[in-house]
Amino acid sequence: MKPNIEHVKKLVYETDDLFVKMIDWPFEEGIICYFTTLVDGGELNKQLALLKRQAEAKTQNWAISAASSSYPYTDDKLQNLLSLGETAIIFPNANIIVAINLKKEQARTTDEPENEHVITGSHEGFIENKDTNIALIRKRLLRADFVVKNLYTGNKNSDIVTYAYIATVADPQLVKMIDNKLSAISSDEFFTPGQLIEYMEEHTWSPFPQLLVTERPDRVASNLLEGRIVLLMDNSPTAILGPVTLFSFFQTPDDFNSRTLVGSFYRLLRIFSLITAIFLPAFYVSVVSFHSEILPIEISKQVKLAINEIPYRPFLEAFILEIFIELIREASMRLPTPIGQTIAIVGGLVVGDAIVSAGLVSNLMVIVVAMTAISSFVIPSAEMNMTIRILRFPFMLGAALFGFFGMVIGLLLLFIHLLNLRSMGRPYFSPVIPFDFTRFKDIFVRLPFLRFLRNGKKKGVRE
Amino acid sequence: MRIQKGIIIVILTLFLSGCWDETQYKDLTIVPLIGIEGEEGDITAMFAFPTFQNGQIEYSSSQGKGISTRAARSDANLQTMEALDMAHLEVILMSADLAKTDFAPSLDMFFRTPRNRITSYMAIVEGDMATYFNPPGKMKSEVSYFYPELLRTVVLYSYGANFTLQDAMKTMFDPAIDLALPYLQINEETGIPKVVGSALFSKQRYTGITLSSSESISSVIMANKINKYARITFEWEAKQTQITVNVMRVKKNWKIGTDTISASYDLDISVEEYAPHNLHEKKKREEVTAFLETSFKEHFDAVIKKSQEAESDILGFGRKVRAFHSGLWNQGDWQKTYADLPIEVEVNVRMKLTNIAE
Repeated sequence: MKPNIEHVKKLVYETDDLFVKMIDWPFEEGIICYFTTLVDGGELNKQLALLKRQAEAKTQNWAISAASSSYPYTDDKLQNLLSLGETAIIFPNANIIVAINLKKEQARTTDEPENEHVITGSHEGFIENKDTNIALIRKRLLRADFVVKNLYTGNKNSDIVTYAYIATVADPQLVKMIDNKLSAISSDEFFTPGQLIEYMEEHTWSPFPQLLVTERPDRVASNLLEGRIVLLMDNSPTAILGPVTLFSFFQTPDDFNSRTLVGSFYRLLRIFSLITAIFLPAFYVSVVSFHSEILPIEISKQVKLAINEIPYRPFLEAFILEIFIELIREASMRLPTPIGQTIAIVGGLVVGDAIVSAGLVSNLMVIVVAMTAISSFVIPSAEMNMTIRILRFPFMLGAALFGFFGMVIGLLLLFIHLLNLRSMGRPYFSPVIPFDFTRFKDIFVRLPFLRFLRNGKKKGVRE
Repeated sequence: MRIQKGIIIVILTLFLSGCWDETQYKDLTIVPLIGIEGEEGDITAMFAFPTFQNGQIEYSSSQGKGISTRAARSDANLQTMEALDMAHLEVILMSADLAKTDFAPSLDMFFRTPRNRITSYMAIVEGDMATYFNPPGKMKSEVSYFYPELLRTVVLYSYGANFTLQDAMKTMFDPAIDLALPYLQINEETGIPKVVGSALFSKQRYTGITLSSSESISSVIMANKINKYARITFEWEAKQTQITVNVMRVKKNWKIGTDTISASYDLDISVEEYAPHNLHEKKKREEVTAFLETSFKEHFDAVIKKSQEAESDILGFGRKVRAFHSGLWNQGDWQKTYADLPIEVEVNVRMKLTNIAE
């Protein structure tokens, strides 16, 4: 059966935004069809004129141009092309489709991502268009070995996942593994990057994110140069990077743009904030419930004064306040910005003060919880930030039950878990175990770019 | 299966490890000051502690009697609102009468509980313990705050050294060295407790002999245990003036012979107070140095004399004797030997700073 207008309409269930008309062509009549919502009509006319000229010249590959190509006709192919936003010209006698790719772009500008601000450095960010995103990366990696691969995943083969790497740097086995894993995905659901991450991760139940998510092209480019692989999806500004280690989540591009000493200081500060964010409430709970002897006497009087008339156990006290802080955070994130700020102020200042004067929670506990919250917000990655905040609850429970001993048991379990974690098959806790001194010191400090310095010394030149 | 086993092991570890020793801080009373008096078998212990009511710190004290310190503490517990907790103990005061008896067992309690501090200061007080907890004079601060600060000052200005509970016990049970603890009296004029010197111990008992405060500093200098400051003032009668010096550095050299000891000291001093000035002149400096040497020697001799009188080797000559001169050590009881040993003191003073540009 030869395709006609009625047949094409049926194929897309007679949707009203389908444009389908007969079109005159040098050798036969064709059927032109496209979704008006996805295609730019003006541009299409120019392209059609070009193709017509090529067809009149009767060259072998008249259908091929920068934006068009031809396929043998099948119903499936037609459906597929239309849904991807291409314009199809069907020639029933020749039994071919000429597809013209002239998508109307609905994209915002490449602004700096809201949640990954830097002070100095590039202020570009990914947008919801994959091609633009790849262009942003390629712009930074002007080299032939930067490879981009597209994969159609899922049962309907319509969701494109793109992975990219630098061929001379990335481990070929790793690339193969990623390819296999992506090809194996079978899902009918529409993909979000979050879903993709779950398919790629090996430990779904771990609280730790095993892949780094970023919206910054400069971050992606520098990670690619270190041999990592990036996964991109259309319609999402999120790039997924792997394999990563725990400590990748504590670095920002600012580290490398600021001065060595300053960068090192803030890197140390972030590691310190990791420790306080996880352990401070637990430490406080175990001190006031078990080990009060470690307090210096001057502080101990103040501590005693603060907690003497609190009706609840320290654990409950801490729990109330932690939940409260989490509520404020969640509320201010879900609400529009101006209201969100109001909520933060009302929650933080007014209720915080009232809760102390009501005698429900001691003012020391407010300090501890506030300090913990601030510390957790220092961590640059949003996912790691959440993880750290969830982690403190089991530690608080351990501290409330067994004091420092409970904390140590918790720490032991945490380390066992971290040592077992893998990110795309690579050890997650890497510079620590397996130990590598050169990378280990990078966790704490950012040393000057040594190679550069050494070269300068050899020549005896200092610029 | 392996995971289940692991979880069971972890839970069992937690429950079997016996770490159920939760002591809520709000249910404890922290005791920074304890006073012990009485005699072995009939101990009275006094406790001073802050109480916390309506958001304010007030101070209170409690007394307990018992056959031991622990029993006295338990007795006091029955009269105090919250349980008494010794983990923050800063000062142990002991009455001179108890110190004269065999008092070591009454301190045993402090070493039994790992929570307890053993770096709290020890001091000997004269007379009734109750007057030290409620001094007749008008105190500007609470006793539980007063004594720790007072004794910290004693350490800082070198009026005494090594009188934390741990050091004191270690020194007391060492046969080659004897203990000296700060000695407190109620000041007659102000009615406030005052450190008047050091109480000298011989073996495990207080001898009843005390060093004056200037002698205490001298003894600390002689033992080379000075802290940040070691200031000592001399009256220069010939010139009708006073001179205060701070000893910055001590180099001691003890030569122990078969039946005599010669102790020579090199002191680096700075001048802290000297009205006649003109120390930039070499002649003047030599004159002052010579005066200081004789004055220091007088003070040092007085310390040696008193300590021999008390049969109390507070400087620790015995340690060197025990290590290198077994003949002398084996003559018998070291404290007795020490009391009769001729000890020659020699002092060299080097004026390092005059502290003024002239």
